[in-house]
Amino acid sequence: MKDIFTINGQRIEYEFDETDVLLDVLRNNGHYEVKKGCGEGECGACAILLDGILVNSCQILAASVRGKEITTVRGLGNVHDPHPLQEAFADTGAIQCGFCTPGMILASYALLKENPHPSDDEIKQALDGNICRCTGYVKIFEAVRLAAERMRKNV
Amino acid sequence: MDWYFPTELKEVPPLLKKEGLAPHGGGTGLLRTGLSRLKGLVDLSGLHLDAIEENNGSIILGSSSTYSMICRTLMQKDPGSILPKALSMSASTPLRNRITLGGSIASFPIWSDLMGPLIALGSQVNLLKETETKHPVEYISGNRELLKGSLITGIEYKKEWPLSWYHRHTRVAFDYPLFTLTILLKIEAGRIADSRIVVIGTRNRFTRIYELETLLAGRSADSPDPVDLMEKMPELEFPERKTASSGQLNCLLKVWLRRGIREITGGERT
Amino acid sequence: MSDLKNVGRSIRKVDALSIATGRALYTDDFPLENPLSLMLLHSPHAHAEIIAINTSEAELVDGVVDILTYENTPHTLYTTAGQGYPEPSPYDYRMFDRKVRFIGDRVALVAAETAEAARKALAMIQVKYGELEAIFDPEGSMEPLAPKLHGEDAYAPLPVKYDPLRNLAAEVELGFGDMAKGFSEADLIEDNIYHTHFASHCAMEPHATKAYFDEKGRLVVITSTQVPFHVRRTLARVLDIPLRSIRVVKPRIGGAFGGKQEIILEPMAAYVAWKHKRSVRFVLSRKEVFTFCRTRHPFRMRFRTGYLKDGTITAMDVDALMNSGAYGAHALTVLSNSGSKMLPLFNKIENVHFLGRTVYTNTPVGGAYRGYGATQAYFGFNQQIDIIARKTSQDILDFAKKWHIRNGETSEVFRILGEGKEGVEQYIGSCGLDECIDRGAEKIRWYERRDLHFSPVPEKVRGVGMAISMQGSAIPLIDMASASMKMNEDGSFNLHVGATDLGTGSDTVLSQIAAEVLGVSPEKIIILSSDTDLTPFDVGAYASSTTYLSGKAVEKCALNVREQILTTASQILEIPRDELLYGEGRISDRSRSTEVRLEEVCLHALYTKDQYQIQSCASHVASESPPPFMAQFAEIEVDTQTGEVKVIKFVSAVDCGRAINPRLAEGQVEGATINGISYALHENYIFSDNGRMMNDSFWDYKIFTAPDIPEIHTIIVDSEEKTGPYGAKSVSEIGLNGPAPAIANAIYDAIGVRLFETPFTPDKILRELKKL
Repeated sequence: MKDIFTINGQRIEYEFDETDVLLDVLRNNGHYEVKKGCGEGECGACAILLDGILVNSCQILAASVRGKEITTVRGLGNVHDPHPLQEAFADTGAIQCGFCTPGMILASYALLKENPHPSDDEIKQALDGNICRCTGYVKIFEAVRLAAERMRKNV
Repeated sequence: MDWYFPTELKEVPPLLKKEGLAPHGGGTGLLRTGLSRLKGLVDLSGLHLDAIEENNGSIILGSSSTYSMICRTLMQKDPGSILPKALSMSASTPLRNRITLGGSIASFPIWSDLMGPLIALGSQVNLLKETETKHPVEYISGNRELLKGSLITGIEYKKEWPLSWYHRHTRVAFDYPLFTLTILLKIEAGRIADSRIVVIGTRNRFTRIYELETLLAGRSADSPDPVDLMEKMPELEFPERKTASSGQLNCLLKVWLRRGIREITGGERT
Repeated sequence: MSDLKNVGRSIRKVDALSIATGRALYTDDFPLENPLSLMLLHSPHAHAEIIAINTSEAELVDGVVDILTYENTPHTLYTTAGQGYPEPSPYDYRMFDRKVRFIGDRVALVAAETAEAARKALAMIQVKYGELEAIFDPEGSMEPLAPKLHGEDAYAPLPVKYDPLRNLAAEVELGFGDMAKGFSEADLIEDNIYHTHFASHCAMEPHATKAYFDEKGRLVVITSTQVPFHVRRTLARVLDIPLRSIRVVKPRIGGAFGGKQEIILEPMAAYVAWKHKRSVRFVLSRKEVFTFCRTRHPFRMRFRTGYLKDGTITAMDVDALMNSGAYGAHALTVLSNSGSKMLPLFNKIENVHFLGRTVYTNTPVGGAYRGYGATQAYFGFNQQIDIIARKTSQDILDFAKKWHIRNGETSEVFRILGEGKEGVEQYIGSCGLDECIDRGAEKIRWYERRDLHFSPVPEKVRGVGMAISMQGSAIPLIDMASASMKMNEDGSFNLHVGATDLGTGSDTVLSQIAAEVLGVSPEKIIILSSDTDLTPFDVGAYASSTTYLSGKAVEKCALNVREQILTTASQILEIPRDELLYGEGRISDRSRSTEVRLEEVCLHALYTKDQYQIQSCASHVASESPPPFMAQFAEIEVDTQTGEVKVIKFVSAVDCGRAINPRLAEGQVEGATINGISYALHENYIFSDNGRMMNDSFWDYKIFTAPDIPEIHTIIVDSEEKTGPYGAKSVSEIGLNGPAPAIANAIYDAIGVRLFETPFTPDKILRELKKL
């Protein structure tokens, strides 16, 4: 089947199978920033925003997306013009292998949008669906706190 | 496989009558059980079944409401409600954003965080087949053939349990609970007037501990003395697991029951 | 060295922004034209002979191009362990085999135009198995009547003890002093058996390999590996194709932790590509990573320690049994390291004996895993010293300080025990362990917590525990790293290293070292790593070697370039070389009145007269392996009714020499620590009676997520290792050694229960408390 997807603000038509999950459709069409760590909804590497809401793209049938806006980590910023969260993750050492990073940054983005001043517990809760094996999460929490602070100052 | 995108409820019953068609809410449950047996999916997103309303002291939840939506809305509409306590800890953020009420009732996994509270609250499930019918969730849970060919459109429950307590027994935060324990209590004039105690994860998926509810009735709310109650607690049957024996789970359940009763009647949270 | 400009600074990782913005490419992100999809058929039996494989029906599936089995693939024996040549691991593995030795073992591989076709064909392969008796318990593996996994043809390429007909995958024995005397002098003997369990690395990126042909017909293998050069060597040998026809490229790696020091997918992928002259894509599922890839080797370790009433240790006898699983990847070296990374720590014990055996069983295959045997050994070691300290009424902190190795000291073990051969004598040149112990103790509030049994609520009790450890930095006289570098007209430098950044940050750390030598900012260093066509050789990322070994190669290489810059500057300024000062971005005379900028130096060299490229390469082999040291402290809370153990606070204090990038060093410790806590409390392989891993997904194999993280503190203790680049030693593995024993010691401190077996699950606690 075919459908039109809106990804990072761009409308584009993809062809896919009725049973394909969104993760595969995105990766098959060059959105490699969406990672596959387990395919079972447990690791969060494939997390995206769907109409601004954090979801695991491996747990969504592509056919059901219909008209909703998809945001991947590329939609937040790029190397030349990174988002404060992307900067903060780089500055704090929150990135080691980086395979979890796109999902982790989107989870943080979804949190800060709702809650610009999160407590440590709220940060932990918001990232509870994203596994990181490299950092022990310590520097990731720091990155979210730093980004929150910078974003509050910039507003 | 075919996809159907109805925009009106009346389109749904004829579709679900067909062999191999299933409703699609968030998709998380379907992807776990597998799509291979299915011929088609009826997507519910165009039906606006995600309303959460209050009406005459009852809370009505549309079946497409996600766990996250339920948590956010009920914190305002029904503060102290058991549902946000249970659902805010369930699975993980991206999954809570996607798992729907209807899908969870339909699949009722043994690790459900939803069903304990719903059963304890005495919720009614609204089913649409040819006509709309209402059934207690506890009844549906024991008579699951009722769901065949039906669409769960929502549930409702009465806001009558101000005291609630919930425990999910997990190894780490993001985990299937080995069991969940829901306790609801009503206290009148310093005495326990009524209670609901439901365990999810037993061999029959859920067990309401009527014995304990009876024993609690009329006790002083100041010192319900859970220790002596535990001696009269029936042994529940849990499925055998490599990670925890039924004996161990019974032992843990009693610990948490005591703690729950102590805390809900005003003791310290441990 | 306080005038360092780049070393010791926590700069951003050089690849951080490309990762954060989703531009960095990992193996499966490289687009290929019409690759064949590869998919494996795995064994449902723990031990069986394949009597017949019928692939004819499967071959008829539309889109199927080939099906590989033992019948149509090379029979060359090799090891999947990606180690130096010749490998210290036995050659007991073929691309495919007529025997399967664990549930999940490879049986056949389908190559098809689409993943769907491959999946469909897999289900249609008919295999007739002749089931064999399986052995799961390593204790019984060497019994005469136990089933044997490997035949006479398996062999060890190095002259080491290896006896497949007894299921013996490796054996190591060492001793010095007089054990009989040591034990007879002892007032008391502490004799305990410790068990550690299976674990998965859980790198977020599942194993992946892609291969294609370049325009000249050479095979390019892009793979998620720690050892690109070992991959190339192994491919050439197993496939019997010229090494010059193979290029191995390591892109960004999504975590490895030892799990990708294995050459598992590459031979199959390269074979299909070579045979069909097609590009291929081979990516494992998470389930396959759990069941088919590598694990942490489980150990049984018996410690017999003789000691006097005052705590003087008179003898230490260690008997280790390591479960290798079905194949012998790292069978010898993980075992050796369980002795060689542990025994020297208490170098004052005069009478020492260590006997280690690695045996085959029909369980998933062990491999390299961060900590590499030291983690398993320190579990017992640190409890043993906690027990002895308590029984002789000493504080374990004082006890550890009295016995641990110090600056200027050595251990017989360094000399005796190497990797597949004798070791290398070495004297410790940097040891900050006392400071690690003191500062860690202060942070955990040791003296306000120890022996207090503090109980915040009646059913919960808290306790604190400590564990110390050391690791190594590269394998001395065996591992080699190299770097090459050239200068550009703007005063920037291309740095090419064989060193393999797995996400650890080595590209960044190596850039900082080069920048320091050359007096430029790190942005002026353009690093390229791990491409067998473009970069010089490096053994790869293992044995805690990269900063210490590859860093030294970079330092040497940069010093050569610096020397050339000075020579050129001398020509330009017409001032003798010895009278020049090398400053930041410029060379000047001593009075700084005349100077030339680096840009001008390069322009001069490239364009003026007798033109030449300022460039160099350098290699480095270490003559010793200076250990980093660590003290780790846990404060835990036991729920005595439910048996749950919760870590409240965890402190790691490390002496890693000078931290080139302190923030990245902290990150290594934090990651290893959380992995260690998660391993100590939850992670485990749960097997069915017939040997099937039952929890083969993240749903059931539980590792920590954000809400589980306790209060974590990391302390980097100042120290200076003279043999390392700018004083650096290693840091990446050691953090995994302490959590399990520190938590076990803390549990004892809280409730007086001694756990000799990991993981510390609630049922074990409840049983010890007689509540189950």
